[in-house]
Amino acid sequence: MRGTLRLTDNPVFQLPMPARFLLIDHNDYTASVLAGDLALRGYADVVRISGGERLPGDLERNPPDVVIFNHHAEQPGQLEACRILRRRAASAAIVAIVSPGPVLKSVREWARQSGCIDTILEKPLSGERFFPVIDHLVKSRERLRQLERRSSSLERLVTEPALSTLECSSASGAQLFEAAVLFTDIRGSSHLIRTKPVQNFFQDLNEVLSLQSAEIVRHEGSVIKYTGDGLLAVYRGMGRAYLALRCAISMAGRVGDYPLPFGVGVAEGLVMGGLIGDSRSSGQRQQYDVIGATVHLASRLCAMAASGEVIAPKSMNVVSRMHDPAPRSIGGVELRGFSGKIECVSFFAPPGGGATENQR
Amino acid sequence: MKQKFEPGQISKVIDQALVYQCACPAQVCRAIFELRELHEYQMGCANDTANDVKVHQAIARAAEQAHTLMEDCLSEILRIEGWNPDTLEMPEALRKKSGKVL
Repeated sequence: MRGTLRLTDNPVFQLPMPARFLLIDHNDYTASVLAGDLALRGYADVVRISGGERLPGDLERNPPDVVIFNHHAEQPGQLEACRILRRRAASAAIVAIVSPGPVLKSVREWARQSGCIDTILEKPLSGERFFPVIDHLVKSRERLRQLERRSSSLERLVTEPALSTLECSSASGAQLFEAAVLFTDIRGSSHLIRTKPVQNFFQDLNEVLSLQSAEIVRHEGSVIKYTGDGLLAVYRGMGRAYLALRCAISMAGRVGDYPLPFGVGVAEGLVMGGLIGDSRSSGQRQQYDVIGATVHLASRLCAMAASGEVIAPKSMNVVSRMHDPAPRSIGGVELRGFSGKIECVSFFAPPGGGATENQR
Repeated sequence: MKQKFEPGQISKVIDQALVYQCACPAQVCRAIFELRELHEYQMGCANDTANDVKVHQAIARAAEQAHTLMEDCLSEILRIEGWNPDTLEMPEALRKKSGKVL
């Protein structure tokens, strides 16, 4: 009985999405069989090459979704193409079609050691085995691309500390850590809201927050949240106090370039960070936030600061040793929620950004 | 176990067959590989009792007989289909599809 089943004899289904294939096969006949059946299945974007020495030059920029490597026992050296592809097109799924017997064993061993083949299919192929694997890989790649697109969008909406917390094992991701905290706040916003058209005020506010956020990122900080007419940012790790003060002075020194006036408060100490909000039902709103005395202190100091002014505890500048612009002592300050007076300093940067970057 | 075909020769037939039109010789090739594996396994299997020896010998003997049959079968079908007996190249007539390079 002659086997006349074609790969494409299976019920044709709707092509899930356009997918790019790279077919590696040095034999013209078998390559044409595979490419033809892929095309009949709806996978028309197939580039065929003969071997590793002729891999496309734009693999990194336009990686295929699936690589089909038709292994021929006569040419075992062509397996190296899979190694090159794994390196140059890491996102591509690599399927090897291999003869059974000793060749299959050696290819399996090579795949195990190199990690360069995702799936091995035995010859002779049948549509029942071949296309479900190909369809599954294509769908997986598309899902991966969708997740990457979604992840890229979310990265703009979710702060880096929040993302780290989501990856944390505990439910709330709560952490206690040392940080420098920076607050900004628009000066006279109540008056401005009353005197400016709403659209204009929001446009100006977004401009201020965008410029401040860029400055914070430039100084290696993370914006935790927007507080209405200001923002809260944290700095972690070595040099956090210096970076936070440097950033605050830099943005305050350019207050004239901003469409709205603002003041800045900075403090350093222990901070609690984690997810807050309704954690009982999935899908309910939660957000990452930082809380604690250090956060309150930075907020209170920010509330005291005039437009273009940075206020920080004197102890913080002992560590940072910021001298340009020169800190001005404002003495002991009584703050709600804090016992005793807190010695503070004020910085007024000269117009145009003030301080140079190398005065520690 | 006597072997008429080298593993490389059998793989060459399978590699050319790939799918559908020539899958039948490839199925025979596959059976030959499986019989060789079965025979090898029986020869290496642990013989803890006298019965174990008898069982393994019986299976190995049957595998060998089946292997000889299937190798003869492969020779016959390759001859019928007109494969080159020296190079084991698939006859052009079986290549229903044109071998165009994409």
